[in-house]
Amino acid sequence: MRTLKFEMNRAFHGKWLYISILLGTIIAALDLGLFRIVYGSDKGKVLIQAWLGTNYQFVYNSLFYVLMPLFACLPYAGTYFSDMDSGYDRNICVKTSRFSYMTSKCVASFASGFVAVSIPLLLDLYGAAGLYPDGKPDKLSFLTAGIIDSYLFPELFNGRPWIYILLFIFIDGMFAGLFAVMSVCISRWSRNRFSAVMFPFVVYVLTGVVLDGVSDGCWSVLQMVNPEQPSVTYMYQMVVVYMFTACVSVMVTWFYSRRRDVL
Amino acid sequence: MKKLGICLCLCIFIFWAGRIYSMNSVYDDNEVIYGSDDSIEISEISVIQKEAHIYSSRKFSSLYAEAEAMMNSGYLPESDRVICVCLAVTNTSSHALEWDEVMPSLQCGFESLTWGCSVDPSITAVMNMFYSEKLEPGQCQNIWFAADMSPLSFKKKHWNNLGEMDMYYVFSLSPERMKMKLNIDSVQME
Repeated sequence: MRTLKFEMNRAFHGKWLYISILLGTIIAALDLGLFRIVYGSDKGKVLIQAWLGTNYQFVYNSLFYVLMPLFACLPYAGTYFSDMDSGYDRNICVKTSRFSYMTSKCVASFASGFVAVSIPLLLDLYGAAGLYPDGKPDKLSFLTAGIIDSYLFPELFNGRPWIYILLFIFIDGMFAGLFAVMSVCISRWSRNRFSAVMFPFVVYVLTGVVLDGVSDGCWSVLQMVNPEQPSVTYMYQMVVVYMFTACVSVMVTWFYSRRRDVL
Repeated sequence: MKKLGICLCLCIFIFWAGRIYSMNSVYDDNEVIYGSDDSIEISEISVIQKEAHIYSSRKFSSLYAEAEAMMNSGYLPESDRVICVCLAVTNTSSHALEWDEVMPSLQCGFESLTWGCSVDPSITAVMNMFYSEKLEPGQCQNIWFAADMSPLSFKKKHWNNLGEMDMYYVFSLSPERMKMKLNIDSVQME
């Protein structure tokens, strides 16, 4: 527990977390600012059209969601490589078990990734909510994201948009945390901190391009984390991808840390 | 200095929360929903819903000869369905109305909570028969509006139970969003 508290303290007091949140918030602010410039206080516009996640009209939505793994891994995920590189982890493991250290590292990385991605989205939601009302999107105007029956959570999108937004912020945060854990997992094979941080981003973009539209539904994480839902994704696909990636990352990390302990 | 910053942020947060509350408390979505038996007055015409159906493409083409050509050309795929409504439109003004005035004032789209589609002019044209050049004062004419429903737009369980969904016909989006609940008796497949 003390290790966890220590790692959490390191994660949430590092400058990279603030830099990551700032970068995400700048993208969100540019999106909202441009929306405001283009539409002003148009009475027909509603919150769900202005929020970064479902505003498909400008490039900032794509930019944020393409860079999402970087925002998630930048704050803390790379520190495991730094700890190994500097021999810091050996010093820590004198006082606590490696299992405890690795668990704390993974939890802290997950939490920092979650926060780094969800805070800019929440701030954008808060900003947009003060400018546009929480009205229902008009399907027939074709000026909102086309979340219809076959997509995920269409009842929420069309009936309770703000719950849909909060739900997707949570989902994005969970995936961001997973990216950070992936980065910790891959640190063993990385040559430097940069490659450890970049690995989830590269996998995310590559699978995003390759797996988009290869079968019924969508297996691309790049598509499924975007609240705009560019492709139809089934719930089971999201759960399978998440569980598979989480299990592989955790098992590899656990297996490696056990072997490292023996050595 | 740090306390001043926190205090300033808190003030901005509270001010913005108040703004969110006031914005949403005065918000009116301008939507008027009519029941399936209501008579609606739109500018100079009165509208009553006579019937509404969801047909399979095959059933639809068996009812309208021209629709078969649409199916053969692929415009109306066999897997799709057609949602349609028949409106009894009466001219309540003292002068004749051109069809070009009447149709645009009624033609918008169909929607449910999770689906929406604008009226398809080609399918609508197949269903309508006009016997006069204009809608004369007091004259009543049945006008059909229709749209295509694709199975790709629905979850399978909803597609198989379309009759249980609340469907609406939307007349206009602005200045008022006017829509009428459709009284769909059943989904006719054969």
